[in-house]
Amino acid sequence: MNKTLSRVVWYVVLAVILVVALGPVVWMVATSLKPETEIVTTEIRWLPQNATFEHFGAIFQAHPMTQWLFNSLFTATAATVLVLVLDSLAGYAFARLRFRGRGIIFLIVLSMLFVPIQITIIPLFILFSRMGLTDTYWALILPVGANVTGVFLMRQFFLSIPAELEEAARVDGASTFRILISIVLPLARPALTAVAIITFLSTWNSFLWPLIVTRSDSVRTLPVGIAQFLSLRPGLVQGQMSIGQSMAGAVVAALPPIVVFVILQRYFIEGISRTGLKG
Amino acid sequence: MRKLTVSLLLIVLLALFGVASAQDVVTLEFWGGWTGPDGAIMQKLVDQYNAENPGVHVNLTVQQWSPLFDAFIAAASAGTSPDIMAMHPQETAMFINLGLIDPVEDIVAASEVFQKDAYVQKAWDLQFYDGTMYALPFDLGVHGLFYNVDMFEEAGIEAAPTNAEEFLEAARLLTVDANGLHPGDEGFDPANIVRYAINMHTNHHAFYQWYALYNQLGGQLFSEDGMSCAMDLDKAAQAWKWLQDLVYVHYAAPQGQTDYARDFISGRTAMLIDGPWQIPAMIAAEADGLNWATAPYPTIFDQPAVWGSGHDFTFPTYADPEKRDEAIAFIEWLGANSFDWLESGQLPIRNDIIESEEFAELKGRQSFVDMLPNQVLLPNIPKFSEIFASNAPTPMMVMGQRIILENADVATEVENACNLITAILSVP
Amino acid sequence: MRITPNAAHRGDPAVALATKMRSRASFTPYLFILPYLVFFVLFRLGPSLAGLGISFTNWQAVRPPQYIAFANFSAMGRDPLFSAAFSNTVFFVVITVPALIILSLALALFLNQSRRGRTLGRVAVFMPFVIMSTVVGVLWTWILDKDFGLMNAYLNVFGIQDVPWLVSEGTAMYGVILTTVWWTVGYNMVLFLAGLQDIPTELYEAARIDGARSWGVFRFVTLPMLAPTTFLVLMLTVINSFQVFDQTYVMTGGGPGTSTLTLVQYIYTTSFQFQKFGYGSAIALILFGLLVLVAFFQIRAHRRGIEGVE
Repeated sequence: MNKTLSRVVWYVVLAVILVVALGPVVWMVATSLKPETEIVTTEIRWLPQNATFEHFGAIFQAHPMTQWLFNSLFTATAATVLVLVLDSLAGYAFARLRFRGRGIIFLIVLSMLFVPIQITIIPLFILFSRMGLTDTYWALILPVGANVTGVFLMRQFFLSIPAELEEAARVDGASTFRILISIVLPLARPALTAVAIITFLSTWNSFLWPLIVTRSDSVRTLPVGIAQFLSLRPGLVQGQMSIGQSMAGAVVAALPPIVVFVILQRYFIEGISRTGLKG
Repeated sequence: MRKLTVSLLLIVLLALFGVASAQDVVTLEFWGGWTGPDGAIMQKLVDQYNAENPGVHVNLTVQQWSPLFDAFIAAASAGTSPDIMAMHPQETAMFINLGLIDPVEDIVAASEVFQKDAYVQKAWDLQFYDGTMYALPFDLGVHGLFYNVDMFEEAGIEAAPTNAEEFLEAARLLTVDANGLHPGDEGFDPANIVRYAINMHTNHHAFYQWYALYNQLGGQLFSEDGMSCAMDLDKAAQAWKWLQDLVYVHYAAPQGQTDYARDFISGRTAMLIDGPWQIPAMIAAEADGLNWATAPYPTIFDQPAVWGSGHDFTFPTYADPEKRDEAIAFIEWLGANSFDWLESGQLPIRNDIIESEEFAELKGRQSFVDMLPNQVLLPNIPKFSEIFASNAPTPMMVMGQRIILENADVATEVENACNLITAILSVP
Repeated sequence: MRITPNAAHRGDPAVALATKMRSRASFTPYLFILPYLVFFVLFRLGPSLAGLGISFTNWQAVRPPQYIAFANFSAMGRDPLFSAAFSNTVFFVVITVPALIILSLALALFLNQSRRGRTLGRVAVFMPFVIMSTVVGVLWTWILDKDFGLMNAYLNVFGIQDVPWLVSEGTAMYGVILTTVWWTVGYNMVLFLAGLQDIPTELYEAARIDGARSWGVFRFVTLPMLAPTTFLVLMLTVINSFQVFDQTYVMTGGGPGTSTLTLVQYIYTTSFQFQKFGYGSAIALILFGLLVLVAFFQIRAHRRGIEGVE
């Protein structure tokens, strides 16, 4: 009896969680499939009566969506690879290697979490402009390399694994780099996955910097591109915006990270878990 | 999926082709904030120009105005700029003050397209700041009155209202509660109104309307030296009171409305105050049975005045000077070929177009064009953003939202806003 | 890099090797850290210092900055928008942080049971976090629409009158908070789930054998064992909440009135829209100081807590 009750409770609560968490997402997808006349109505109808792909067709025809998609995928992937390389090296150094200034450097790195990126935009832009790299993939990829969270997570992970293996290898005469590559990193796959997902997501979704630094469609990313036709607060722009197209753009933008997450979610949670978080 | 493959292939081909032929083509960076359907029309014009002029490639960058200006300033901070920057006439002073845009008098002196006599005088005059011309005009827009013809007939209203009295009477007849009663009828239920007479803006267009009404009362905003607020507080309050009462006293407009055009198209309101840029949406809604017409913005108080704005083109100081001739040629072409732009609903400013038969055939425009002489623009001052910006809590936005959304006391809000404006203006 | 120039050791191969090893050993860490530091200094530290440094100028981005000492800071005292932004941000933090912590912990505990459908539940709760902020903003603006939104439609079903949400000063911030909680609770949940994995099952069994009930187990086993995770989640949530920007930028623009103006939005507005980059960065410096202070007290409280337990 008690068991049945707890099972009922489990399923009821789970259902509520699913509805609240996914409802808005489902609503977004459903809306993107409705003709505009079905959208502009007071009735709440979850399923489109006459489902249509017209909004998707329209935005792919009117805008270089595939190009934007490619740009976003390429820059997010490249930035993720860059971060994995930089952060595993730096994270390992912060966790295991002794050097002068380690504590203070780590503190300075962490303190950058407190600086709103909005004020770094102009100096950063001037820098890239001096380098002649505005409106290039470089401008979108390189700044991600300075990310703080990744270094922090990698350090925490390295701290959590026992040092004996490394000591043994060191006695055998392996170089520090060798140890990192052949012993530590294979163990670090969960942490690397977690860092990869977080980096990919934040790069994929970033808006203000790509907006400022790109101007041609050949490098422009998806969030900046679709911002053109997202129906923001009505009346903010002159002219009518199509809610259907807005939501279709939203679906296109949300799909890749959702797919990536669904595939990697198990490693993700494990990865975060294995980073220890033990302070 | 096949479409995707094809477009991917196309992109690769285009990229290859683009690289091969990019050598001797001048690329012009052209920025504008046309994020609605007007963006597609501008792109069409740009495509046409690119096709007709193989030596030039115009690259149109569209983004909402506010982030577009962010990018403009960021670019300027590093000493670069687009070749052509579109903006609104009331915004030029900001950028002139920052030293970001150049005068256009040399262009006008040599141009056959941009000649004073060819334009509506108002449109031409707006391009001057401190006696110097800084921008080339492209279009204008003003508020006007859209109305639902069927609802007017059903209510027995013969013509669109032109003054306060007619307006209130029409508003009473058009507002209907669930029992078919109108405001003022015995038993009228304000909590169950099924149709409102008119919209009420809750965004920046609220203070745009207020500005028009305040001008109808002959009000002034700033002192002569431009260093302080010189509002006539009574008149300012009177103008707001009119708008506020439409919501809270006459029940003619819904409280806290969010999407005006949608409400008008779906029949929730019988009238709509908005700009001519709504015309394409109205035409599209005819398929679903909307029977609409337009009328001039009513003169509620002493003299006619209506809020307006427009688009113009500026030539940034930090643009590549070697491309200026090509940029001018393109803008001249746009100016001369601006008829297609009217598809966006915006109003023509060239006399030949206004007088043409083709224009006369376009639906709904005439009422707007008739109002152009009464158009009032927000003052073009260096601190425009700090006082009038639409997506920041500027004195105007705060005053408008508190009065319209919160039913706040108009006299207090007007005084607060005036003090804030003085505080902003008095800082050098 | 301490290579002894002692000539006596030159010819001795063993000493040479040892010296080389030692020099390599002390040099290697820098090789590891340098690539990241180059990026960090160029693209984060440098721009941040430059950004904060202009606090003492009246820089407009396009002209050379002029040093004006503390004028930007004294201007804050007279600026009603700054005080509105400050109190709104504190309000947002005070509501959002506990909501996010408690809800995410509850979700993590619930979805940590080994039952059918828990993976689905976890994916669902995390899902919103992968959606970009502009899209979240547009979607929720629409859901919270006063007249046609989903939210009010369902509230009506439960007999609750229409809530004006984003079009009233009294409720707009709650709309933003609701959106934020929906959007980011999954991230915290994942962190808590990770923390729960690290609690040895023996501890639970021991507690059970001692006859502890669920609440007791939670109170005396789970909660103390989760302390490090809770600390991290709390830190991250506080940092992110103080820097809330995207949601209000897309959904309200700081309005109605000044009711949802937050500090970072105000930094952005003054810098870019009002072209007062000096003033904007002065506010950023204040925010930076505030966050350092909050972090300091959190760390101290955390240390105290640990000592108290041990």
